[in-house]
Amino acid sequence: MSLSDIMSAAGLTSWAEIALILCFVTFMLIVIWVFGVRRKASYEHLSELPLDDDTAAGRTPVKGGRSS
Amino acid sequence: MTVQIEKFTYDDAIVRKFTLMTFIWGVVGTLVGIIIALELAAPVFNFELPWISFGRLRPLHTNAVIFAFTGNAIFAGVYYSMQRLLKTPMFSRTLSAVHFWGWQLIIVAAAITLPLGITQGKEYAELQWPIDIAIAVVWIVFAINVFGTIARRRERHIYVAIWFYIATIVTITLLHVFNNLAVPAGLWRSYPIYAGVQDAFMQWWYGHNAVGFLLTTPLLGIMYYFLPKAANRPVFSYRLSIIHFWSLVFLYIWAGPHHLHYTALPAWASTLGMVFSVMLWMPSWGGMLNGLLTLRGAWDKVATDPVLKFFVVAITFYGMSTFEGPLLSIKSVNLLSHYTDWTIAHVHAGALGWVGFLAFGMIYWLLPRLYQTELWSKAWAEAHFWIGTIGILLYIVSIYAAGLTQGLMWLAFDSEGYLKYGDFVETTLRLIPMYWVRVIGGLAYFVGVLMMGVNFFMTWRNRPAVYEVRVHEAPALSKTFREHSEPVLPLEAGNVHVANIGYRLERFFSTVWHRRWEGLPVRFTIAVTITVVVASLFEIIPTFLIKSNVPTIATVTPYTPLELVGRDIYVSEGCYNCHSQMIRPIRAETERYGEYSKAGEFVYDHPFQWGSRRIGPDLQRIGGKYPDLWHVRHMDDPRAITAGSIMPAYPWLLTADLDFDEVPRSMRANRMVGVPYSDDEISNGIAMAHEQADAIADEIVVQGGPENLESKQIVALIAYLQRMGTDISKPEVVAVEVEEAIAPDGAEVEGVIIAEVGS
Repeated sequence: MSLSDIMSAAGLTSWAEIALILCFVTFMLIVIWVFGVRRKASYEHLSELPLDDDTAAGRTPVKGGRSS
Repeated sequence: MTVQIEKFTYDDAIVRKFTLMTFIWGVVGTLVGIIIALELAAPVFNFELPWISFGRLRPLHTNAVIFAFTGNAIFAGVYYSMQRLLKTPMFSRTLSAVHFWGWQLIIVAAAITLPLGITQGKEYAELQWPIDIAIAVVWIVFAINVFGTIARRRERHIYVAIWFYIATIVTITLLHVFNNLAVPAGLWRSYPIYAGVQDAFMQWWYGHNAVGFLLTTPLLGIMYYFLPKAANRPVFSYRLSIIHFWSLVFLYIWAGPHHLHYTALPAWASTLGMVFSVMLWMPSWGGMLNGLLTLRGAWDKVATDPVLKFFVVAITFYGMSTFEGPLLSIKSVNLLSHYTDWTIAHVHAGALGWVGFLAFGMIYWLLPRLYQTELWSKAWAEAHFWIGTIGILLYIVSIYAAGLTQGLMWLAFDSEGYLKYGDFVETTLRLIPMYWVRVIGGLAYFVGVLMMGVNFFMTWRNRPAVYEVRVHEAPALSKTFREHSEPVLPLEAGNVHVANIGYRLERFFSTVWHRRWEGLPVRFTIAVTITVVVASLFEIIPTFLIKSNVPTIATVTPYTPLELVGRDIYVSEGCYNCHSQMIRPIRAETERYGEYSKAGEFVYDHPFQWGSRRIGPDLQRIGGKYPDLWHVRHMDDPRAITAGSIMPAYPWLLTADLDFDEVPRSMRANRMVGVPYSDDEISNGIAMAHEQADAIADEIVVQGGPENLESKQIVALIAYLQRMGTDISKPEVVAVEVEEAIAPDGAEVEGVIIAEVGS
């Protein structure tokens, strides 16, 4: 008896639906988790990370670049 | 406690290298694109030269644009942004150099082998196994360099752009390795371990996720870094970027089967692909809006800054493509769009608009910083933007029109119930004007790229004699750092369980554990890997292991030695770029091409050759349709047979010698991947091939054709073409014999088994 015989007999046809539901539920948990956040400050820190270097500060202003 | 302040510098030399090669391969990729666009508008541009014929050049175009242009743009963006986001130079300058030179050598190898017809015959995975191994090695080098850099970071928190980079590295590794598993037959030929339906399934699992994880996620990482930099403001919503990331990782990996609607793929798989594709729409638009809203209050800058102009249009095209993708994945829409130019227009809106413009915006932002001088000309950058935009619009509008035109013509019936446009070439001729507009659009886009080259060169010329290497400072990451102390319950133990549970829940939904966890890149990478692998296995395992998904057909037998050689020529010439071998079960197709395709017909097809575009007609039932001589004349000069055909001429097939000595090696490799050739058949392979070749050559002479073709490639190709799709109409008596030989498992083998439709 080969592996494919076992798999064919195992009645797994509904697995795809189960996986879909599992993935959907997990995803919804992530959404709830992200928006259930109380600490806005931590996200503010994270979102500032790209701007938190000295590429602009010390450089002469350049065409097409940051204007600050 | 004293904090150790460390000094460090960034390696911008490697970013300069990758940025330069992004431009150079951008020129090559778009130039080859223009050549093949010309070849479709007027086949004379094939010049009857083997190595620039459409079937061989089209893979070069796609590979150059995807892996060379986009690949180098991604690496430039990753190497620039990672160092700064993590406050550390890259892990190893040696690995950076190996990565850079290795990747360029791979591209050169691709540019040499593809025009020579060395290919695996699977779209965007054409490169042969030695190059595939090199890609895997260089990719691992890249991965080590990235993870090593993360390990040495001086910023505890990992910005969302880097999440996107990690997902790219993990997923592309899996896709590349598993789609390219093949048994070599010599240095430059191989046969995939999968056959037919399963090969198709693996290929589009790979193909769609190459779009998802090479043309989308790393570029989104670049968007989330460079757009805030260029606009000088943080991303609109960091929360939304997290949702964007996880939903792409969760959903993208499932979407591949939408490339195989109404084919012999089991319907449950293609339905699953459709559902997940439609779900992708919302998070993608979340990402698009997040990008555009980052510019709120800064739209005045867009008017004056070409970098932001490129970014805005790129993000808009991202939104357009990610709306259209789900639309095309809906089965009833796909029925019209599949095999037409609609798909081509869709991918070019994505490639020219999203990928190209995002890369150009990034390059214009990088140039003054990398070369430490002002950009040579902002006006030229503006001009590039406008001519590029016009080029994209000309391209996509004409090709959308072409796709809709051809799709509707294929499906049209007249009042008598016959096909309204029964002659395929009618539907081709209608598209030629639009193909010329595409050439003009492509040229405009190409001119824009060249203008960027001038700006690049002139900016480089104004660089300082010695690049200033700035020394940065940051505290080292404390190894004993704890994000927060252990949770202390607010109430003393006692009868306050409910309150404590509430407090724990509150903590769970706070960012506390989330932030600790995202600071742990190993666990994060494992989570991404599990997500991707689980989703893949749920789709792949049933297709491979549950027999009802590929019902066997008793009369389908392995190819003869000569047919096998002919099939190799079919693959090598890239016939699959223009011809499908997959008739969908709808009346418009069965009327035009014949009996629809069944899963069991492809069990010996390594690789599958279903194709994705019908620039020419489907070939699944070509076997026995025309005499051998018709094929000889048609290959020699297609327009002598079909006026208005845009097929390249293949005169070399009539003069190039067949390599009969290759036959046993090919048969052995095919046996290793599951084709039941016996020892006798393999040892007699050369003799059998000669015998069949002689018979075909004699037949051609009898029909009044040229003599002495028995040792030429054309007879092998004819052997394959005449065999194609004929097995299911073989007489019953053969079925009984074969039933015992190859279907001993008791599967139903009576006559033709129809693929299960509906789940």
